[in-house]
Amino acid sequence: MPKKIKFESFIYRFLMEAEQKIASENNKLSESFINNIDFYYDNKKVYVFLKSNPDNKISYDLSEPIFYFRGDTAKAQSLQIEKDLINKADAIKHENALKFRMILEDAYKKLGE
Amino acid sequence: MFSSLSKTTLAKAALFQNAPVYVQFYITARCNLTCQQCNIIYANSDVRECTIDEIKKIADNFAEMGVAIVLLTGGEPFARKDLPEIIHAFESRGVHVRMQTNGFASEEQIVKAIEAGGKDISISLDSLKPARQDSINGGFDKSWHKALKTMSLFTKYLPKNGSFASLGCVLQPNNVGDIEDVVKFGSRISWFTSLVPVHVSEYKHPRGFRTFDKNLSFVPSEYNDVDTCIERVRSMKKEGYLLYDSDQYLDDIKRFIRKEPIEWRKFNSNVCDSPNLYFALLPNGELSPCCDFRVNESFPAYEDNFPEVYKSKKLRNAVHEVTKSCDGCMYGSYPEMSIAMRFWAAKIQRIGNFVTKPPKKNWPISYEELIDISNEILNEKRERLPSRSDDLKLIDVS
Repeated sequence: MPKKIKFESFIYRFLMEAEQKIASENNKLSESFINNIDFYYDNKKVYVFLKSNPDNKISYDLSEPIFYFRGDTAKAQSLQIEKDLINKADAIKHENALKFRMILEDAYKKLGE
Repeated sequence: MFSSLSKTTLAKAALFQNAPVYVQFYITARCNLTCQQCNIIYANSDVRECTIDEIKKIADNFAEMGVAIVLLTGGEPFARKDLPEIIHAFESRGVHVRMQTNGFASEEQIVKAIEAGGKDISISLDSLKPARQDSINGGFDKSWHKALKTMSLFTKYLPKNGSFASLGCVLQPNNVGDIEDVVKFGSRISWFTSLVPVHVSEYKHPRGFRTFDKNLSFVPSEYNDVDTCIERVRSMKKEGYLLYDSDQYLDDIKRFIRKEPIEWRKFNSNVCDSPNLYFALLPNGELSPCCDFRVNESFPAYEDNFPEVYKSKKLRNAVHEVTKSCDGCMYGSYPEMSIAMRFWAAKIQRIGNFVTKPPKKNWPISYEELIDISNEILNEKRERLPSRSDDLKLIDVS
């Protein structure tokens, strides 16, 4: 069964954000939160929950992050020009990082440890 | 096969271990397969892809820096419609291009890539059993057959002289018993095989290329079979089979699957040679130490001053912050590049591979002939090592 690509991408970016948060100073997020967390996919949404309390789950729409922003076609290049992305710090990456920071904080607040 | 620019950089790297020999450029994160052992297509999903104009600037910078080899990888590089232009951008500036593919390219795409200057290809092949390969590739029917069709096309269009073809084979619990067959198959058609052991990580330590699937980790009861597999392919190499991997690298595979410290970094204080000998580029053109890690700062390789930035303390320190705490990897090219530049025995092996006895290529080879060769090898009566997925039924390949 092929994996759900955006679902797997969400998991990875969420965990990367969590790892960075745990490594940073003065954070409340602990490793036990990550050890306890799990995800599942249903109908274009990702559900996040703690294994210790699977009934308490929150969902995020997989269309929220901007994944796989192309640059190889004339149309893709026009879009990048239109959004003023070329030859500049990657605004897509930055926007995604902010998005996952908010998602992580939201998940931690709603799920607890 | 290499330009004079590439040869000069290779010589400098062999002498001083400080010349950018090899860059892995993840030109896209998009892929049409979801292979069990691969995570990079998800890890690099969050960035934009460079445009061709930016890639031409990267090629300018690489030529100025003397980068010898750029690996165009992904994702699936052929998913980019402008792949021929990308190949031409590097090759026309003297930077040797290697392409890595899952074998899903069309004949037209292959012809255009070769015409653009791509004469060095690596295709993923983990088994001669179609059902097993399809399962490893994420459950895509006929993906094994598609890979063989693509291999046939490359033998048709690649020039016999000055080209290089190899099979990238991931060693994991589901195909330990198939590795010898893959090496035999590659050798029969004059393709080298390069092994990479599966890399697995946990949720608390996400790493770019490493799968979270714990089921793909080797367990202690399988270690002896892996050892036997490694020793058998090592013997095969001595007999003349086309295995790319050095002895030092093969020894480290045994350590790696046991989670023991690996040794290929021992001549550099147990730190890898990024960015001195190699580094990676994300799809957005930013430098990263490798496929597993990023740095906090942004160092885009398309900026005019990238050749100076590459030498700067700021960049070196940023990369060292990451590499100094890394446990090490076995991603084929990075270890092999360090080994080739730092271990004399490996240098001699490499020269032996390419100078004294380049493989004779009886190309082209049709798809039907490849199927026959595969069946012949599969039907050889000899003891095979067990794989975890031996219960998978074989699909009739005739």
